[in-house]
Amino acid sequence: MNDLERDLRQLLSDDAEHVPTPASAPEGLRRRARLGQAAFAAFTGIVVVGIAALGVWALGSLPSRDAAVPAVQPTTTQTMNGITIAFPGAWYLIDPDQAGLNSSKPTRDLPRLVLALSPQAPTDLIACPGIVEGQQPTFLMTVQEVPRALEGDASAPWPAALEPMDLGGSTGSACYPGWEFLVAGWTAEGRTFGAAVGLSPEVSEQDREALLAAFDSMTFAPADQAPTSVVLTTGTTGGEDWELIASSGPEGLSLSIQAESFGAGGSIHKPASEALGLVTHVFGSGDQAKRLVWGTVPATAVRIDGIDAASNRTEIPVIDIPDEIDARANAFVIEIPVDGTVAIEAFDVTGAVVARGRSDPEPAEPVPSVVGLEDGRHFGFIRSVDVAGRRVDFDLAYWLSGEEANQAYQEATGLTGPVPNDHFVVNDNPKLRTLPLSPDLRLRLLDWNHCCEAFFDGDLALFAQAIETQGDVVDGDLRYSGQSQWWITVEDGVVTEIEEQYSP
Amino acid sequence: MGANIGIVGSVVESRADLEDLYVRHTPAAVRVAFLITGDADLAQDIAHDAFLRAVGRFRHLREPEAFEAYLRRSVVNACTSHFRHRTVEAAYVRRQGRAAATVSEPDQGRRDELRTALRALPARQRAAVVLRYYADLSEEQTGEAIRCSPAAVRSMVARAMETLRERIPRSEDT
Repeated sequence: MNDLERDLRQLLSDDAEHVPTPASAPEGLRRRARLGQAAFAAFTGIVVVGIAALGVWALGSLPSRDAAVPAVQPTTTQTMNGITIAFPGAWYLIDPDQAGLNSSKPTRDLPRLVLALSPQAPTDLIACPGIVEGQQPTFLMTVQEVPRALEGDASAPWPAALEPMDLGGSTGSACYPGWEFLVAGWTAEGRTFGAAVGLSPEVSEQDREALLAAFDSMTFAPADQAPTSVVLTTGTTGGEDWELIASSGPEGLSLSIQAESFGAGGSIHKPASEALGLVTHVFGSGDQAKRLVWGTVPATAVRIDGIDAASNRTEIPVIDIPDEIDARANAFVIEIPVDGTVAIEAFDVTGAVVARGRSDPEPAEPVPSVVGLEDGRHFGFIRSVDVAGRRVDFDLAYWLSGEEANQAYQEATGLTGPVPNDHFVVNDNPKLRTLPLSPDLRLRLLDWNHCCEAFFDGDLALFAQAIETQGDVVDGDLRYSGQSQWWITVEDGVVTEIEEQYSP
Repeated sequence: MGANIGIVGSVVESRADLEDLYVRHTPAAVRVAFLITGDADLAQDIAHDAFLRAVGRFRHLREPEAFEAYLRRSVVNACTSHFRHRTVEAAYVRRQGRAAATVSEPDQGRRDELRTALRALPARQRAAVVLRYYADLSEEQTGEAIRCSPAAVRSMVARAMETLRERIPRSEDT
């Protein structure tokens, strides 16, 4: 070690010793951590849509300009969808509508991509840049406008800091091999945005810095129309993250839950708000299952009580619905046991009841129940694997696409745009079906190194490990994803094949 | 049904677990943030916010035991973001330069010059130096924290040390 290194170490060590550090956790830590968990989880779903959209244009067939980008680049400033951004003149500011990133028939409905920045021009549509032959982009950035966030990380004012994002391996190996992703959410001028920045391992330091500087340079204009939807609050129930969204439309107020799977939802449409509207939905399965109850009350309600079967009362916070969405209503959301019911009473300032209602009891159904499944191919989630007993617990769901998916998505969320990624999963009940596995079971898992048509024959023990941990188990170049979705083939009551469903 | 009605929470840790996690990891995060930013108050804020963000993502991590590395990465990113946002480096270095001139201890002059030179480095270079020479991280671990390859770390640290060597002898001559 030379003198400079020794002095440097000593200096850093001494300086570090003199900085005050916290000896205990501050008050409110747990509450803020919970908000952060819920907000991030909900926001992750939104950003993944943006990242998925990053991959739907091909950049290989045009001459690359990335290699020729000089270290010091002249900067240009442009405005798109109310966002003004300064970036190197050799780069491309892409209108997501024109590039077909939102849908073939773009609408103003949120969420929608409002800006993309790339070193190369968009060309044909394709699944993901990782499988483009030839020159690939070294970075991509998308900005997505989402329903205005009244709570959570995305409600924080601009400027926002880009944060590393862990994708759980969902796109890391094939579409974006080795890419780093940074995400941020913020609210500016009454609009809420999420940004996803993707950086390939080959990105130059100059481009990285220029891209981050471009991100920081953004300024925002107010929306040219009043917001039609807002995220009232976020949470996690039964292991699934959700957002409570209030929207206004021709039919009046719509209050809906949007969950990560896009399949667990339900909505209230109320032309007027003089009565209490109420919806319930079960999230999770088995012991983890919980019932979420949400609804609207008249805006005159200042207190809401939930009353259980034993007449115990619990005060439920009133969630304000902004006047621009609906001045006549506010909202509430609670979690109850999966087999429970709850009565709701809302009171005005005088203590008079202004609305009341009750969640409907569900038909008695053991959770989990052990039933079989008719022969055929079924879509759903595998909740557990008993290797020795050669059985799986299967949660049946429905994979919809096309117009059917759009319709189900709109009914479930109250939104009017097309479903993201052209698919929609409906999983309305938590019933588990225990199914025997054939001795000749074929386990077909996606080979993410050759996304997304190639499969490999998996090992049941590794598969069970992935399912049990709800994480990834890596075996060399192969990956078992515990949080994936599956198609099972049942013949004579026995599962003969399990196949992984690709989901962007 | 019992008195199980409640507003939904997403509790994954008990209060004691969370506080223990905070006390175990935040002081080191504050020190790293301070060495990169040179601002004790800012370092506290960055470390605290980074902790909350890291906890928010904790259950999404494939390897929860990687919390410390994730927190460090988040802190380094927040520090470099801070300088991008505020472009305060030049002003800060000027302030530090003035402060250094007031020190009278015999050996303090060189330390202050070194500190000033260190804080004049580009933020990512400075982060690499702090992680290598203070946190004693390997090139691989440093690369993980500042999101670049070990070779890039090697290059960054080499450039930083070269800059420091150029500045310190010059200042000694004056």
